[in-house]
Amino acid sequence: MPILYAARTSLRKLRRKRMRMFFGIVPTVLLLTFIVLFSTISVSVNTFIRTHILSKIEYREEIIHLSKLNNPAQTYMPTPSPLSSDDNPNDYTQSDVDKVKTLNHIQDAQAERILPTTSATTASLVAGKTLTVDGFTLAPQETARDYDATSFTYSAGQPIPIIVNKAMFNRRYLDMGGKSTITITGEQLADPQKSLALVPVKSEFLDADYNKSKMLGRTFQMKLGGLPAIPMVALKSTFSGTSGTDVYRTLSTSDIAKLQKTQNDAIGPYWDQAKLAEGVTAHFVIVGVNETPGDSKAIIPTTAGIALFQELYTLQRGARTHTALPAEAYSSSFAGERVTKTGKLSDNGADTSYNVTPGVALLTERTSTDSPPAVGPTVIPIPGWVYRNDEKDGATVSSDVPDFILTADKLSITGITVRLDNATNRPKAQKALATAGYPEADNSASFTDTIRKVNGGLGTALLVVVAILAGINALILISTVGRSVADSQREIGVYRALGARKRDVAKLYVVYSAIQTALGIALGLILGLVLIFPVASWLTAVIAKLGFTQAALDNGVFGGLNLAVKSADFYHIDVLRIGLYAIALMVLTIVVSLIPAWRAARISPVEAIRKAD
Amino acid sequence: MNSLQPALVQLSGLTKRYRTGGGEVVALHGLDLSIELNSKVALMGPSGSGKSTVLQLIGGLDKPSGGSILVAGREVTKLNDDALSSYRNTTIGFIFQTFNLQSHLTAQENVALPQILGGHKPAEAIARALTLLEQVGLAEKAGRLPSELSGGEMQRVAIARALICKPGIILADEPTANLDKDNATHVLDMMSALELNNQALIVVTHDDRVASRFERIIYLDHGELAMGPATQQAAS
Repeated sequence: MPILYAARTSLRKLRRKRMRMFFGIVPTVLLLTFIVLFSTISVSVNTFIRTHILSKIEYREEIIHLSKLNNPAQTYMPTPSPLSSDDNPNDYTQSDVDKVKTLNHIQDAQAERILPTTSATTASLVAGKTLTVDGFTLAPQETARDYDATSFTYSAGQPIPIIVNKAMFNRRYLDMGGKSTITITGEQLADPQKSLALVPVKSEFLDADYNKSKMLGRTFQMKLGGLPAIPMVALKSTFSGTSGTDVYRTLSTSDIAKLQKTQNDAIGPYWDQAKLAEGVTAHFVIVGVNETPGDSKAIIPTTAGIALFQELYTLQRGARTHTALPAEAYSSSFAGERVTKTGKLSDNGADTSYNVTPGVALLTERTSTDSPPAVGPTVIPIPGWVYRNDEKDGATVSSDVPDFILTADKLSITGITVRLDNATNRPKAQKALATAGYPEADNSASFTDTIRKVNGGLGTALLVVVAILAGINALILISTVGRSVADSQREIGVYRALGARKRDVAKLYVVYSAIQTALGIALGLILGLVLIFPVASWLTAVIAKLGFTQAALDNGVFGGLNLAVKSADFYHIDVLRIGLYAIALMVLTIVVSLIPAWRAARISPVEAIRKAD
Repeated sequence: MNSLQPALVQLSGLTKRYRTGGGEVVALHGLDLSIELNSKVALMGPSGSGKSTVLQLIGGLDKPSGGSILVAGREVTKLNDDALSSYRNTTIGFIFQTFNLQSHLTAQENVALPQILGGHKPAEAIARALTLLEQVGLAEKAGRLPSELSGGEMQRVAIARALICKPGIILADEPTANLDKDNATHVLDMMSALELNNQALIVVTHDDRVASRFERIIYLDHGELAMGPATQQAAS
C-alpha cells in the first residue's frame, strides 16, 4: 500500500473521528509548546548567562593575584618595601614569579610592583575636595580583568589608564568640635568604638560623588611627589599599654611655622625645596574601579608606572643643590644591587674601581631629635633619591644616581598576577599554588561554579523534562492508537480479507500515528511561538525583579558587568533544537506506534469479520 | 453437474475443528468437494452445518485443521501469510452478508481498495472502480460514503468490489440476508446475470429461493455433504 494512500486514508479517518484525534494530539501539542517555550527560554537564559555573566566572570577567573599581604597565613599586615630587596620577607622575587609560571594549569605569571611616591592627590575628581591615593600598584595587562577595565594599555603622551579605588573617596578631615585640646585616656583608647568617636581625625565617604558607572571614562589629573603636607593637628602621645593619654591640640600659627621649619631643616640645604614641592602632575583616565574592601591602592600599567617613576626621579634629582650629603643626617634605607663601577669619586677625584650599591633611598626618613617632639610627627619623610657609596659607608651619600637603576626590576615585587590556562581549572591551579607555597585567599570560584552548574543544569533539565513528557506522550499514543485498533477490528479484518498483508495493516496504523503526531507538532509549534512573547516579557520582569537591572548591577555583585535584561534576550528561538526534538518525537511515535500497529496486523481476518457479523 | 469443465476448486478430506469454551467443535468432517470452472454453486445447510467454514477456508481467511484445498492446481493450505494475502487479493472476491464496506472511504474508493492493496496505482484503481460502479448502476453515487447508501446499494458496491480484481472465485456469504425483498431480488438478478469467464461463484445461503437460482446446490449438514431436497429429488 503506498504511504501516500495510507496517509490520505488516515487523514480521512482522523477527520471522521475528530474528538478522538483531539484527545490524541493534545499531549503532543502541549509537549511541543513546552519544547518551544522551554528550549527557547532555556537556551536564551543559557546564552544570556554564558555571554553576559560566565564569559565575563571566567575572564576574571583566569586571573589569580598572589600577595603576601593577602596571604591568609599572615596574621599581620606588613608594609611592603617600595624597593627591591632580597631580604624583604613581604616581597616576592623574580624567582618566585618564574617558579609560579611552571606550575600546572598556569599559563603565565607576571610581577606586580608598587610605585614609590610620597603622596598622590587630586582635586579634579570631586569639586572642592582633595582626594588622596595611598599608593600605586603597577600591574600587567591581565590585572585589568579583575575590574573589567576595557583598556589597560598605556602609550606615552596619553592619559594613564587607572583603576581607581573606592577607598580614595574616604576624605579625611579634622573635627575638634570647637575645642582646642582633646585628651583621650588609655582606657577610652582601648575601646575602639569610643576612640573612634573621640579621635578628632575623621573620615567621611563621599557617597554623593562616588558613582562607579559614571566614573568610567573620566579623566583627571593628580599630583605625585612634592613636599609632605604639614599635619592638621598636633598629637602628643604618652600612651603605652593601657595607660597614658593621647592629647590632640589644634596647631597655632607659630606651631605651623615651627613644623615647617623642622621639615625645612630635615630636608636641609641640599635640595631646592620650591622645585621639590612642584611634584609631578600626571593625567589619568579611569578604566575601572577597585572596590575590594581594605585594598586602597590604585592600579596602573607597569609601563606607565615606570614612566612616572622616571619623571619623579628626574624632578628630584634636578632639585638637588649638593652632590654630597652628610650621611648621619639620614636614617636612610637603601636597596638595590651591588655593582662594580669605575669612575670618579667626588671626594678625592681619582679614577678608581669601587663597589657601589646604586639602589635608591626613597622616602628617606630622619628621626627628629625631639622624642617625642612637641608638635608634629616623629619622622619626616624626605623626597629625593640618593645612592650610597658602600666603600665610604657612613661617609657620604651621593646624588649621582646612574640611569641604570631606573628599571622596573628595581621595584619590589609585591604581588604576582597569575593567568590560568582555563577558568574552569581554577580550583586545580589554586591547589597547585598552595602546594608550591603560594596560597591564595580569593575563593570567588565557588560562586562561578554555582552559576556554571545552574547553567549546565538548564540544558539537562530540558532534556529530562522532555524525556518524561515524551514518555507520557508515548503512553498516551499507545493507548489512543491501541483503542483505535480495538475499535477497528472489522475494518482491519476487511482489509486483510481484501488482500492487505500484515505489513500493510501495520503501515496504516504507523502512518495514522505519525499523522496524528505531525498535526500535534504543527499545532504545538504555532502555540509555542505565539506564547513565547508573553512568556519572555514575563521572564524579563521576573529576572528584573531578582535584581538584574542596570542600576542594581552597577553596584552589585556583578559590578560593572552589563547584565541588564531585555525581553529580546529571550526571543532567540533555537530552530535547530526544536527541530531535533520534533524529529525525535516523530521517530519515537513511529517506534511506539509499532506496538498497536503490530497488534492490528496480527488480527485474524476471519475472527474480525465473524465478530462483526 | 458439468463434468466436462475441469475442477477449479478441489477440496479433499477437509477437516476443521474449533476450540471453544465447552471443548472442541468439529465444523468439517473430511469434506471432499470439487467445484468446476464457470459454475455457479449454492452452498446450503442449516446453521452450524459448516457452510460458512467452507467459504472461509476456500477464501483463505482461515486455515483447515486437515485435508487439502487445491485452487487452480495450487495448494492453498501451504501458502504463507503474504502469499495468502496475495491469493485473497487476486484469486478471491468476497461478498459479505453485512457488506463490510470501509466506512471512511467512498463507494468508489471501496471498490478500488482491492486493486490498491494489490499494488495498482491508486489513480488507475479509482478510475476502474467507476466502470464497475457503472455496471452495478451506482455511478452517480460513486462519491458517497457507505453511510449515505441503502443496504441494496451497499451490497451492489460490495459486488463491484468483489469483481474489480477479476477473481477466479467469487465467494458470497448470505449476500441477501440483510436486504429487503426487492433489493434481494435485484442483487440475486445481478449474480445470476454474472457472466463467468473461467471463474466460479459460490454462494452460501439457507434460503431455498436463493439457492434455486443457481445451477448446482450443495447441501452440508454437520460438516459433511448431505442429501438436500434437490439431491433427493434427483436421486428419486
